[in-house]
Amino acid sequence: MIWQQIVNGIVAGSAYALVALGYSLIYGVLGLINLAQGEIYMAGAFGLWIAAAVLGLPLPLAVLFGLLFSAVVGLSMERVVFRPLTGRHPLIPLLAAIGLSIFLQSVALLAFGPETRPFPLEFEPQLWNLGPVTLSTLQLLLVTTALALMGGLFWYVHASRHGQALQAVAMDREAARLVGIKPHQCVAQAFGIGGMLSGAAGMMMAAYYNATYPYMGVLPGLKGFCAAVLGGAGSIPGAILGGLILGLSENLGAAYIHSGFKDGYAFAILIAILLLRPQGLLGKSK
Amino acid sequence: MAAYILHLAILGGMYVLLAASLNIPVGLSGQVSLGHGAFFGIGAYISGLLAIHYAVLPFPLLLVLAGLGSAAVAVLLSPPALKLKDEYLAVVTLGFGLIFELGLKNLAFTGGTDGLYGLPNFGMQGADFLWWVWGAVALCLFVTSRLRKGQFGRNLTAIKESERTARTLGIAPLPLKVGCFALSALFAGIAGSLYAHYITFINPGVFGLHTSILLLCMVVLGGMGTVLGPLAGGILLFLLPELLQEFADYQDLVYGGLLIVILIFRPQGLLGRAPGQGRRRFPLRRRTQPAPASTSNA
Amino acid sequence: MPQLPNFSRCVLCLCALLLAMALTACQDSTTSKEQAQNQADQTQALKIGAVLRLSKGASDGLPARHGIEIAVQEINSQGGIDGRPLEVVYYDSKDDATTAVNAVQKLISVDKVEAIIGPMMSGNVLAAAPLCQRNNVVLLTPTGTSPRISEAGSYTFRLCSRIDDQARALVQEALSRVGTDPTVAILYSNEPYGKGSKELFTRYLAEQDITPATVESFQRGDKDFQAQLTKIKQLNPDILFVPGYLQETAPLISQARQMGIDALSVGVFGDMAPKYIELAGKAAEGHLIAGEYNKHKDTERNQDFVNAYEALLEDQPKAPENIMFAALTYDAVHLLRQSFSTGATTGSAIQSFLDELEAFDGITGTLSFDANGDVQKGGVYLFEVQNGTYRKL
Repeated sequence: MIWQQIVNGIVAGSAYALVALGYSLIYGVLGLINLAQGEIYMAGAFGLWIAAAVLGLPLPLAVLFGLLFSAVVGLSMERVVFRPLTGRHPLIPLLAAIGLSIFLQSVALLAFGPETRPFPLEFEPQLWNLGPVTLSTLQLLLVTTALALMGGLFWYVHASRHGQALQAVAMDREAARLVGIKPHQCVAQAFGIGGMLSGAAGMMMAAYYNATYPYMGVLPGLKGFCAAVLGGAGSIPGAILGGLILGLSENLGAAYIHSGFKDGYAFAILIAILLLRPQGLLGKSK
Repeated sequence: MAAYILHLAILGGMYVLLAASLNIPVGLSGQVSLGHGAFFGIGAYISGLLAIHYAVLPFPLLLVLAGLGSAAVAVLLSPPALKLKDEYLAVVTLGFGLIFELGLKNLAFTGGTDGLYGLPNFGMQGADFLWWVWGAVALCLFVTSRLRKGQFGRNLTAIKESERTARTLGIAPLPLKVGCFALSALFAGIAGSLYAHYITFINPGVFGLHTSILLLCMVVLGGMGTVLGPLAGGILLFLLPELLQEFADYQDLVYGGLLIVILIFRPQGLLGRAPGQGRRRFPLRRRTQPAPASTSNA
Repeated sequence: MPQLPNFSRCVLCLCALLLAMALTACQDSTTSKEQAQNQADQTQALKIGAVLRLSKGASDGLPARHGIEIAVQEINSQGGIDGRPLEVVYYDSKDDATTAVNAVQKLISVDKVEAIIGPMMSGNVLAAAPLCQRNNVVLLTPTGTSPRISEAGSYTFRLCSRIDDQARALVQEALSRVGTDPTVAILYSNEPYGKGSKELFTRYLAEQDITPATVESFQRGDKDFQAQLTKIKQLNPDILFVPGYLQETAPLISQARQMGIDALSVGVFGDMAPKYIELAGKAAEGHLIAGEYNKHKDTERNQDFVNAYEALLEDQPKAPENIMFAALTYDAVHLLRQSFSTGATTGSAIQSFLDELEAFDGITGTLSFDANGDVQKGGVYLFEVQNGTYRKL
């Protein structure tokens, strides 16, 4: 059974990792924790729902629409809420993000109603038996998509000019400006890309759990936050590692210790790690 | 109508007390806590469980034990956590609150998700509770104001501005920060006991993340670090659902929007001092990043 | 204290004003009872209160509200009760005990009602019950299933079956289908409703000398049950009990079937909604549950109600659909109507009326209440999902 639980953990962990990447990108560039990341996750899922159920678009276009929608939501957050708050005490944007979270949840509630919507496109569950493990095509699809997105992000950050500018701003904002990089553009990029990643996670989970509803981003947002900090806020590999550890610990803890505490295992591990290594697993120590 | 206003005054007072208690670590020493609901809950459950199992104990004793119990937990658990800074402390307190809630739901002796029902109210009427609650509020505000002014307060401000500098001046940050948390837990625990015996029913849902966030918002809205800020913030946010009864569907929308607007345009809260006005007790600039030379859009 | 800026002073004055209002209000001497009497004498509207899940749990609360609206419309279009129209004051419980208590307090002190329909969740009922008891106001919950509600006081009544009767019937039916010595697994929602059900299932299984092979749980809002289901699949159960709310149990059964778990699935009445079948899809086939209302019941009154409900849904296409909750509150309103029409309009009179009631013709059954205020309707209704809809067994 343990292998099956590990598979479960990897699938869930991939989604958490994507959300955590959103947090880390923004934190790296701006030093701010966007606690409304979970709502971008939700926006992605609803974006896809609008495209598929209302506009009638086929899956690939619907996914694209969802990604664009999430990017727009992320960028608007930056422009409307976080840009006016640059330079303030860190608690301020943290709380603004909480307010934003509540605000967006209500917008979704008012726009879409409280009902849970099933995923608007059909998926035939095909099961593959590989020894002790049973995988569904959906699980495989999700993990490969997540890996592809992470790969894309790595390439972007390390190999593309824009990505390198992002890294430069994260390392030293003033120095970056001196060599002609525009920090505000990089910040916008971080929000846009981070938004797309979270939105992708939202779409994936809407398919996996067959559920889209306004409050769907609350727990994944918190867990993504947990994963990002666990791996070291601001670190991209850290976010991925954090997400995986989180997914695995939840599933293994629920299976072998007590399923009632499922949501708590990740935080327990986080607390333990932070006490020993305050900057997180792969974070930079100050 | 009278009974309803009385009820609001009592319950509102409890939230003001909780906000005032949270103001001590958040406002005075800049320690963000997203798990304050847990201290509220610890006090409530200590008081409730003692009342059920040891019916002879009088109410004032339960109140004190609830407060002390909560403070003890703070003293035990906070030292390792308080070495972490801002965001990390935020997530640890978040985790603590979450684990506490899960613990309440899963352990048998706390009544699990059913909660504790039929707690005694010691024959007290509404008006009695009113005095207890607002008495506790007054005490907490008094303690806050004394802390702010004395050496303790100055040391806390030093820590808030820059821990490294404070250390060079011979101030040991950790005991002070733990002290803040312990005090805040003390008053939160007292609020818990008051809640338990007023409503006579407690369950884990009351003490979760939703409440912790509400309290933090009350502190920020009122003005972090000011003495009367929690009073203003608490009363306003508590009464907001009442005022918005007509627009029940839009309540959360207004709530979130209001928070954002206040933070952008008046981050010092309702009663705080604007930057440049009078002595600045609260740094509005980040500690580590240098302030941008101009607000260029480059 | 140093001089405060003007703005701050305004804020503090406002706070002081509010506090002063609260303190002077303590000395107010008019009692709510006197005013209730005044109300009873005049030809004013008869007011009742409703505390429902109108925002977070709106998929349950809105249908409940619709049931009330249909009943009120019916009553008022026929001239009301002795010429007095019926009026309902609605409050949202927001799934929060404190908000529910506030709402009940307001209904009692400000709106001065003598009876309240709701709250809907057991925890909120337990929190509000002492308040109603102290003020002699009847609390009629349409959906609170916790056994503890039976001891919540003489003013608390409930319209749904006690969950233990439901559980006993479900266990009997499930066992009758799978033969001797079955393997049983329980996966419950860890909040009062699911947990209460879990305890009852375990108890009734124990009476048949059966111990569940495993008991797992999940939280409200969870969507990922892989961990628990993987563990359960290993045991190859014959019966899987899954008490909880449909927002979780629907994805749960869907994931279970995807994994290849083909045990008989047994749920509780939280699953009795078209939404469950919509979310679970084919995985819902064969699901066994206990319900409170049979919409296919062949009486004229019931058919009128079903038609009225369907008409309402056509007018409001975005509304969540759950005819069972609507039926329960519909009967609640008519119970109160009957009470009012016999002249019992104050809380204590309504309470006596309900206590002594025998054989009320409701659409959820022939109703009466036992000494604890629990509804008696001659047995539990069991349903099974067949071909995408619920059929009564």
